Amino acid sequence: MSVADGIRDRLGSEDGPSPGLTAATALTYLFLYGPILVVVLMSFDAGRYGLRGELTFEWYANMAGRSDLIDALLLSVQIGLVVMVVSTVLAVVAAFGLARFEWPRRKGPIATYLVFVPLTLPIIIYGIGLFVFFTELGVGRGFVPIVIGHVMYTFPFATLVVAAGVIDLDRTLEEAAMDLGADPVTTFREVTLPALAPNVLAAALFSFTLSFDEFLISFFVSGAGAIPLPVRIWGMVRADIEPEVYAISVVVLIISITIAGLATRLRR
Amino acid sequence: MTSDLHVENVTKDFGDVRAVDDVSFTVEEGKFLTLLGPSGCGKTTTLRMIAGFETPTEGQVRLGDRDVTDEEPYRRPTSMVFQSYALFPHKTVGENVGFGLKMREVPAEERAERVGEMLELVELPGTEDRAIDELSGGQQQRIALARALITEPEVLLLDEPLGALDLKLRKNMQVELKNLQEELGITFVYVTHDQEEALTMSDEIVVLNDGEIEQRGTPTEIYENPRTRFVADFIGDTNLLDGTYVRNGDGAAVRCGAVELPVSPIDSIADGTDVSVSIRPEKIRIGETAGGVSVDGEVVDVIYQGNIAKVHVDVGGARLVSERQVVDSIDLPAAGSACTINWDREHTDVLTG
Repeated sequence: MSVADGIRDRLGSEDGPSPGLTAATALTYLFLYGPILVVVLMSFDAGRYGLRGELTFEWYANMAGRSDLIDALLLSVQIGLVVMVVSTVLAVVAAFGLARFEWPRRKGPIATYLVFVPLTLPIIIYGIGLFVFFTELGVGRGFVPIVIGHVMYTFPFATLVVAAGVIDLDRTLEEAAMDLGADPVTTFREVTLPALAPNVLAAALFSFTLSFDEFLISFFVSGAGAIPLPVRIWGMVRADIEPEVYAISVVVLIISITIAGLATRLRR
Repeated sequence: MTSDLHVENVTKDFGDVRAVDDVSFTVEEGKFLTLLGPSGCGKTTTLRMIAGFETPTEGQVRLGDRDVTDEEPYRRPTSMVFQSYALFPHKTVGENVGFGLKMREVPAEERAERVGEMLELVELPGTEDRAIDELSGGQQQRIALARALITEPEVLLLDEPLGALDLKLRKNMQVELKNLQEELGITFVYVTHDQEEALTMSDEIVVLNDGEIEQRGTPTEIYENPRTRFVADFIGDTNLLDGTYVRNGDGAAVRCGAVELPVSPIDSIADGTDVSVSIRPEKIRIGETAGGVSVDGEVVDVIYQGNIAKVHVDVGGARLVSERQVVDSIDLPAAGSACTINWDREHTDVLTG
């Protein structure tokens, strides 16, 4: 039942929602998706700084010809894939550690809290810290620092998603497998992992899209040779707007929405 | 070599809580033993120690001459049927049933054949490719049983396997399980809190309370001769009276308030000891005086339940319930009328615990 149905039920109205309610609903969605709508419209409009009302595909055509944009897009995808793998593997291990390990008195909640606290911390501080850290280390900026920074950022999210699955997992399934002769490794492979597959996959997809869209950390640790797409996009609007930015933004949007949608479906 | 199951002086502590306290019993090969008790009595923990999911704090679990106390569950020749069935949701019926054979590296062809036979045994032939969630609760129960039996375990452990089924199905399955057990000749250790289920199915019952064994014996022994107040009360309905054991010459009696009930002398009980007595309601006759113990009283209440009626009789302040078959409802006594109740002396069970 949708929220609108619920409200209608509550009000006992047979003739549909009132005009006021309809308007409020429309405004809510406009508020949520307005900025995105603007970017999509601008990507098909001949105007550079505002809507002119002339349909054009020029920006898409230009974008396709700009190898710097395509390279940045591919780099972001590469970073996203590596981050996805690393973050998901760590998340599975951490989730089992948090949910299954017999922590000494009161250490369990503290351990859990410390893993999830970064979700609430300002990302920009991570950016600054990583920048200073890698500079001091002499690593500087580039692919590896970006991946490490992104994993720090995505890991708590991924752990949250996997841990939810581990907590819900029926332990007797694993006991049943062992009872029937499966050693712990076989039990994990045959029973535990398949039962957790939706959570693990969702964690992987979340990790990818979080990394793919990430700007603040990338901004601090990306360098001349390795500039991911969000940082590249920022560069395209800093001095003067390069209108290809609208087209590439729509591409990013489509990729992100597709993956986020997939992940949401997997989590039921 | 026999493979009797020996549980010897087993104790299990969880932190400060003693879940199982010095429990010992032996199950002869091919017998059906039930661990019976209320929730929290340690019956499931005992079963889990036999399966290997818990390690005893003290004591031993042996199969024949083989000490399995510390053996991993996947190396033991035991199989368990779980209360929740614990069927693998992402595997088909056939993969579930065949899992144990796959773990034993039985070739796929032979596996398929034996899965087919096993599904026939539990009367679900041809369901190999079905998904688990397509099955009803009763069918899932059978699949869980098939999955546990296919590895030909020496001991089958069942943890309240019928608990989730409705009453009628449960009654049918009780009989079927018992028949299956006799047919296969496998040792069954069955956990339940349902005393009727225990009486119906078992060769032997171990009654557990608070982690300790209250009494063990055949269903008849447990029902007819309960030794403790807990056992008398937990298994079946009974009349429980508190009193004092008194010796008088060659005889003995239990004095309950104004009434004195003659009993056979018991040497282990000293004169003047506080005891309880249990008399099963169906042993008490109304309106007869011939032989046995006779007590005069007054009918307080008559509760008609169709095939049976429960007549509550007040005898000198104590209330006894007599249960009788109703052949004709006209025969029932009226409340308020005086009556004599009567039962055989050996049906007065003296309880010391």
